[in-house]
Amino acid sequence: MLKSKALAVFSYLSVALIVGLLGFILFDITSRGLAGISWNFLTAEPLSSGRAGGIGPILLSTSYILGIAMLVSLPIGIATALWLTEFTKAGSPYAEVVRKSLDILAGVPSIVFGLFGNAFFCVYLGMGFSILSGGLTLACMVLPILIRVTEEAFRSVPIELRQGTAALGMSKTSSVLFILIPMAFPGLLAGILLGFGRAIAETAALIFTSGYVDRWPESALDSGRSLSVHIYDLAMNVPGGDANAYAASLSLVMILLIVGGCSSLLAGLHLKRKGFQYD
Amino acid sequence: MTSSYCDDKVCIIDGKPLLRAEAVSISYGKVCVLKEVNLDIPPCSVTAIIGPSGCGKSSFLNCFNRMTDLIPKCSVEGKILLNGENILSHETDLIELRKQVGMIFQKPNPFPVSIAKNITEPLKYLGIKSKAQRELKMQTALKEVGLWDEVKDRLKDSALKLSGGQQQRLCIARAIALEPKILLMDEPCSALDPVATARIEELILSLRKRFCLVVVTHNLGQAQRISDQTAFFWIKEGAGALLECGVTHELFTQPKNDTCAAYLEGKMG
Repeated sequence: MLKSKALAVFSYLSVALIVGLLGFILFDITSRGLAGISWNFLTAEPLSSGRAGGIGPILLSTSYILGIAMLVSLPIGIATALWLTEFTKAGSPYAEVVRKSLDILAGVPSIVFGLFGNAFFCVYLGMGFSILSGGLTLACMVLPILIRVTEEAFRSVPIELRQGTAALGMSKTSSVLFILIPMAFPGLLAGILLGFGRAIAETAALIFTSGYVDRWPESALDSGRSLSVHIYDLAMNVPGGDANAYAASLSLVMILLIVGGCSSLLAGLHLKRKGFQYD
Repeated sequence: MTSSYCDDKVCIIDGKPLLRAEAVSISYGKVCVLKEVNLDIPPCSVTAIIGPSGCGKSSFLNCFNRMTDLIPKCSVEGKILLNGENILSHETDLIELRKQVGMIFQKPNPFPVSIAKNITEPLKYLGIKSKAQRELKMQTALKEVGLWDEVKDRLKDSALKLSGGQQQRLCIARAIALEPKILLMDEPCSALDPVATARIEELILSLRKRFCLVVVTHNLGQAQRISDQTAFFWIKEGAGALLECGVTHELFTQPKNDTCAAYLEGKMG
């Protein structure tokens, strides 16, 4: 009795600690960053190493890097997850090896991905410090988590429905398009969101690959500074950059919230449009 | 209850079989679950497969549309001839086979889409391009299973809102919309209440005029009510085996096999 009470108290305290911590971070960033946010801040070039001016080019570079990372990782990730769930037999040793490797890759520190990206994309493939190198490095980093979450989403589709499509003579491709992807869509979005979150928060891997030039990028082969790198730079290397570091952090949090909100809205709309209804 | 729904039950078991199983054995890994079954299945008839749990009835049924391919480590030996061709051969086109041999499962498994789409979407993926044609087939199939009047005003509603019996009839409609030759049913009523069961049984008897049906059932009364021929499976020496097969009425009144007689009387199994 005493033990279960102690466990309950500990659980509640832990939750309070987590919520409190998150609340404090959000409150701190918002209260100190809100004043700095304006249309001008979001669109103007940074001046004096970011102490003044805005984050326009940085937002553009960030969206390029994230765009490349998601564009590359999504098709490969979904296809790999499909292979793991639909095209290998249960308990296949090959699939097990792939799964274990992915789990190990997911835990590799991002700085290692950064060094790999630098050696492979920047130097070996000759892409130099560029948005493309950064995006591809992030794609490598995001893939393990994206694949594993997507795999779970596919796996959660009931076996009866797979049998149903198979018994109707539908090919694997038809079954994937008709039932699997639509039913796994909300889970798929969750995987994309997790990957997106990991990518947008990434600093270490990008310093080595996309560089930290803060001018407007002209092409994917230009060097570009991501938002997280900008925040790091303002906070650590630029005396007097604190105010803009807070404003930039708040922008980052807002992007995450907006993307998260939009994706859950999209998931709901999708289920409705497809006529999918769960009891 | 041993009466049947229709009096025009004619036995056509002497004709040429549509399906013929020759020495079919099934193993899961190294464990043999069914040993050397020979069985002829005539066209336009209902064959009931009865027997205790674990005697390989469902596994046997799954061979006829090669659903056994989806079961890990399951291997099937022997021959199953459909139109003289061995469907167990590696060269069999599974998509073509499954269009000809439909299947109804124990638990109704409608897709979580609208009632209409449950039938029209598979048709679309199977290559019927005309929307009008798909809708016509959907309507015909729903009428055939007696569901049309119940759902015609809410075709866009989710199929999951239907009752269990309606869902099972929708699954049957979905299967017959492909115009198969054979319908396999794996205990199609075991998840349904008696009223819904009666409707499915009536439906089976009406479908029997156009299709060849093979029904696995635990319900002996049901086997008697709906089938023309009955195959009795039993576990012999650790593996499933076919002990007796014959015209349903004869098998139930004068079983030749002692085990079968005891099982039918409720003394065994």
